[in-house]
Amino acid sequence: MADSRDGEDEPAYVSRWKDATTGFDRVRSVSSSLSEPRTAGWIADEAHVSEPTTRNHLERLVDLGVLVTDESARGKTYYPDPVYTRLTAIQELVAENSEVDLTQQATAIHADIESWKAAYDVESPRSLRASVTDDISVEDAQQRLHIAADWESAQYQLSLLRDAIEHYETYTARPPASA
Amino acid sequence: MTDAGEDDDGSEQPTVDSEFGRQPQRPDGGWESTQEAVEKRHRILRSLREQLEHHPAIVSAWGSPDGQYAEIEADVDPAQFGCDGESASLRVTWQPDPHLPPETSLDDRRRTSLMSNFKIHYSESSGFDCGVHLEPNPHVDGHLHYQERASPTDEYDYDEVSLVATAPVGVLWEALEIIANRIQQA
Repeated sequence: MADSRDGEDEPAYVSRWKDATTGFDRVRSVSSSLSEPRTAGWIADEAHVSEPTTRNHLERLVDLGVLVTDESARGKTYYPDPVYTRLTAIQELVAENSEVDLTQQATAIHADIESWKAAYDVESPRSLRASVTDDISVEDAQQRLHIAADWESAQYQLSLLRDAIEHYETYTARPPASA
Repeated sequence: MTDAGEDDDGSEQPTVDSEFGRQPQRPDGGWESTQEAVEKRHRILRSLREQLEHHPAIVSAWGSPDGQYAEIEADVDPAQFGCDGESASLRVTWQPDPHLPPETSLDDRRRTSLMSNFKIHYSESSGFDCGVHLEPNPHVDGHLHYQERASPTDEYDYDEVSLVATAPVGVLWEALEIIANRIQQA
């Protein structure tokens, strides 16, 4: 897998990435995984797509509601739209699970949270982090902080599951087939 | 096995901070809410899952546990990495705003401009495992490194590596290339 392409001065991983994806895929993926707002030039460099083409793709993604824009000292920046982000997370849940599956997942997460509350005698991830003091071992500290992070992920997932379950019929409704 | 748990199989993220419980700092210098940080991590991991599904070595990928996206797990075709093992798997963690252990700092970071922590870790049914990790580690300077061991009873060997990519999805492809090259050299 280390082979470079003849006549192309680019790393092998870029060649492999280009073989497996389109330029639009890479621009969408880079812009959807941003940690902070970025310019078209930055996204073009990371996606290995020319800047003019990247700008076209980004504007299309803005029109589709995937990205939002802002003006900064660096120029126009792009960042994932939070509403689109949440709705696609819910869409994934609904597409891959039945209503019963979703309910079972929510129940399991509730059970996890209750077990964490009982095990550490705390009511929230923040309280669990606050329980990490100098008088516990490093291993115990790491474990508590790891569980606090998982607890926060579980709470977020639970909020998505509640939305998916509450609106399951709406989200899965399809028009009747024509005669 | 080595000590202290910093050099594990990709299942944990170091999150200790000298000011326990403080919120991640935003690029603009403000403090990000926990909710924002969790949503960002979830979003990045979903993007990484999508990209994994494009990679020729990945059979399937999913958010774990139970679709929660605390991390990504994937089934891998080991033959694509030049291995004849029966099966292989991949774990990916990504922490965009990491809490760092005491006595460590992002100022110590070398060979990448990334501010996140991550682990991209490959394991075979034979017992061999390896990965590219970006996190403080007492066995290697500069946080970013490659580690491997022949079996769970062996100690890890560590090497410094460099990354060109900065976006998480590019880092994923580059790290998988590093892993493939190392396995083929072994």
